[in-house]
Amino acid sequence: MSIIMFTKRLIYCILFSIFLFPAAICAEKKAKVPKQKNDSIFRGFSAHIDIGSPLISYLVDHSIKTLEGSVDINLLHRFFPIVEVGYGQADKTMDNGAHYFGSAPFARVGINVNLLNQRSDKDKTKGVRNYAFLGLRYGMSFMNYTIDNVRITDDYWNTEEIISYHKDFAYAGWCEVVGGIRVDLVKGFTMGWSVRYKALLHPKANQNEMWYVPGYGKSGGSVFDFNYTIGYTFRTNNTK
Amino acid sequence: MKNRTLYSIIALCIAVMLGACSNNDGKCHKDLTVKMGVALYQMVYDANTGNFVKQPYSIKLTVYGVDNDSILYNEKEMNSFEVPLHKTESISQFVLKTDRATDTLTIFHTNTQDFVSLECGCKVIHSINTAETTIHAIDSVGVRAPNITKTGETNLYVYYHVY
Repeated sequence: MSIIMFTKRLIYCILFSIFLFPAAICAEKKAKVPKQKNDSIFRGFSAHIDIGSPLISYLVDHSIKTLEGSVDINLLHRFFPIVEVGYGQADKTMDNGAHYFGSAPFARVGINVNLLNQRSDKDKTKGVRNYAFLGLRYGMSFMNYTIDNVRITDDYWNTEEIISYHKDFAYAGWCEVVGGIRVDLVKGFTMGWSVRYKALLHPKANQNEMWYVPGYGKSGGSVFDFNYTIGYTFRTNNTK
Repeated sequence: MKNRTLYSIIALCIAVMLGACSNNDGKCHKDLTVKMGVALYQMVYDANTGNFVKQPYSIKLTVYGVDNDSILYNEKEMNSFEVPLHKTESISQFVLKTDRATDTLTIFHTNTQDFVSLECGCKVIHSINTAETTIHAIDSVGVRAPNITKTGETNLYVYYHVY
């Protein structure tokens, strides 16, 4: 074989290899890529009713009645957007004779974040059934209230005047930081509890008149609250 | 399951305690007292400067409301005092009685009801519009701070004659 022929064959081999090598690599990649499972973001939703706050409200102060429920959706077992709705009423007569009546529905919107790591196995992705969470809420209520029999007594000049206040659709808004746990009982039934730290944002002008804000509590009272819920969790097929 | 139930019961007990501790006793713990402060002065001539100088004036005084049997101050030596204005009317009159003479101080004021809380009710604050006096022992009056929202503040100057 002459040198020229050898060189030509070498060039042909190099060119052939340049074209064939990527094809060979791609073919190899295609052979090793496993089939991907299609995991959706939505993993289910829960509906709960609060049995803790009505009980505590009644035990601490018979004049306050409240009831609330919530619905949250499960996104990736990590984020749980939530809506809480309820109704609250206060009918209170103080020692000085002043009487307060207020009632309204209320709502809170927010999100809970699962603080525990998501657990998975080889076959399917399975989220934790029991988890601790931290969350934020914005609450609002348009309430009607009446304060009557407020006595202005002048002890020196011996006079007395009785006044009253009434307000329709008074807006109250507040924010909450929530922490709690959700526990799976059996066959989708779940329960949980949470502790809330609340701050009343609006109103500022007549906050003294709003003795009780549905969904928030007493405007001049504790900023902490407790919920104990029971309900049901609906899970998607790929998370059961 | 047993641990979950136990933790839930413990959490519920803590919550009830939190709820119970957080509630107030339903009583008013705020001071709603509002009184007009009056300071007594005399305008004394200062020979050094050639000007009249305001000096605190201490005198034995009896103070009570007009048509009111309750005496607020009974022959008390003082250079200032506090009196309650009418909460439901816009005119308050007081008798200021010294050894020399008796004067009647009349305050025309506006009342504003400030709702404090359900437990405390309303606090009435005043705003002095004008002040008038008879001029037997008293020379004149002047309003220092027209808004009366609490106690412990001087709202009115009363100037007595220099004898």
